[in-house]
Amino acid sequence: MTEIQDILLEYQQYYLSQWVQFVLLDQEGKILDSNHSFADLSHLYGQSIYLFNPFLESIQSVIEALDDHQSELFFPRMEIPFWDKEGVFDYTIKRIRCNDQVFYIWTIEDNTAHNQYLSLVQQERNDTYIQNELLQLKTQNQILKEEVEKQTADIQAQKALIEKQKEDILDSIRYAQRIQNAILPTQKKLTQVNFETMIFYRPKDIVSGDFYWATRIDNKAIVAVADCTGHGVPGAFMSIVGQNMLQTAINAQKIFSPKQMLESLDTQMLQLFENDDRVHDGMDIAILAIDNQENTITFAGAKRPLYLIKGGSFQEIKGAPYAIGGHHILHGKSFEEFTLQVQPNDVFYLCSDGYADQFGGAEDKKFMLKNFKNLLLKIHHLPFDLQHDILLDNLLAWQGENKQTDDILIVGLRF
Amino acid sequence: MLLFGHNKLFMQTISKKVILIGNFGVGKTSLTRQFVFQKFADEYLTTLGVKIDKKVLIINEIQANLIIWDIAGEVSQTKVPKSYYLGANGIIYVFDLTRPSTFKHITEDLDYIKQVLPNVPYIIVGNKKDLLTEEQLQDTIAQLPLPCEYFTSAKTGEKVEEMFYDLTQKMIS
Repeated sequence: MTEIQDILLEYQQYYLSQWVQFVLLDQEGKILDSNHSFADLSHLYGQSIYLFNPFLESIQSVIEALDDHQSELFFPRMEIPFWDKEGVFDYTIKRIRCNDQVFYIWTIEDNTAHNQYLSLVQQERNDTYIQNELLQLKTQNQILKEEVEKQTADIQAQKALIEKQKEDILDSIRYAQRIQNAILPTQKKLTQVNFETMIFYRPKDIVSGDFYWATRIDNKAIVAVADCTGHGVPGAFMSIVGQNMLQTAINAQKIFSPKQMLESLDTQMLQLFENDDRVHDGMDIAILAIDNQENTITFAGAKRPLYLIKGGSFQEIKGAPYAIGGHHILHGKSFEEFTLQVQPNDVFYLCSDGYADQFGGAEDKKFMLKNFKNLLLKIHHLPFDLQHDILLDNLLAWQGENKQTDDILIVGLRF
Repeated sequence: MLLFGHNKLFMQTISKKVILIGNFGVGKTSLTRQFVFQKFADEYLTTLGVKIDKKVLIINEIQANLIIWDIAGEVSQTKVPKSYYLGANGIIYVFDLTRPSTFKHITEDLDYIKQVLPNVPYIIVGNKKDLLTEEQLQDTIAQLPLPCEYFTSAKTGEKVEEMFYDLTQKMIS
């Protein structure tokens, strides 16, 4: 033990202080000696320090790996009680070799007083740093929140403005609807044609690009069904144009032949838009002239047919393959008219393409012309009120949840 | 060695050094206190160097003495005395979910730690979850430079036990 005490004494000379405790350990970590500055370890002599001190326990392998090359470990500011003594300690573990034996000196230096000041400074620094960061974040979040609130308010104001504008536009369109309805012939006017009539009229929007028109001149009645390009407001404008042109053809130009009326309409339409290459709009139209004295009808169509059912047999007279106006075929359009004798109970239908083109059904397809014609054939003998209801029920059933595809117009006449 | 039942007379005992690192004020000391003593204090007291606590876990019939080194937080891990890392068997990198500055440098910090302690298992932990709403938590997660395995609350104890248990399993497997 003399050698060991010599080792301890040698180190005590360097650090002789009441603030330092030494613990001398053998190669296996057994306590050999200590100076007991902070704790009296004499009762543990001969026992492994690794059983009593978690710090050393956790680095046992590191201590055992010390060699001549790396012989010392330093652990500053260890905030662990040294047995019963609280404080902040600096630990040094040094491997020494004496008479071919390995020993470890564990030096525990109490720096509590020094570290108290350091602790205060560090606490102050950390607190300030954390508070500043949190304050900055709070400010940023506040700015962000205000920005979001402002943007939300802007969006709501814009939404309100758009809703107001939409309402204004709808009011205008509703007013336009009144005008359009006023222009369309009344049922009373239609009775002047001396036929039983049915109007199935369902605009896609509030106003329609489809229109029907009727007039009576002497012993002749003229009925027209037109389908203008587009629907909604542009369609409605075109329908007004179309009706004016029909009026011009009959009242100013004194044309009563359906074929000549088509030619007049086409000329008027091309003249109207000749200065604007951007407008390629036009209309499809079917015109029927009915002569009550001769019991004849004369039909001419521009891309619209006449369906007639005589004695249970469905017939179709196709219109010319050209529309009125539209893409200009200045000198190539040739319209034809057809005159037929009519008999009591003959039924005629003029229509736009809206009903046949309606999407719906199980596979979301068009209703199709074939089905439309079959339906007309199936119901033609029924009173027109009932036909109207059946057409409507069938349309709604087919349409289902779908929107209406286009304006729909069907005019039926029974001789 | 401890005497145990279950057809085994002796249970294997191992000691594992776990270090908690990360920025200051992220809750490393609180996580340790919650895990070891099931206690929490709102007051923030800075750690100057290292605090060490010990807790025994028994996993798969192995008694694991966890010796937890709660290391003083630094803005960068390069400023931590290297001796603190020596002999570490597991690493818990803690950041504060409410302070982006504490997770801004996770990648650099972990690259450094992996150099100092190669092949040592680690867990990334976002602490102070109790201070965030679920929406705020999701916002924070979206900002993280690396995936985080645990979102803990040292205050409520949420996921604290599981996190230490998970790391211990990684260390002994």
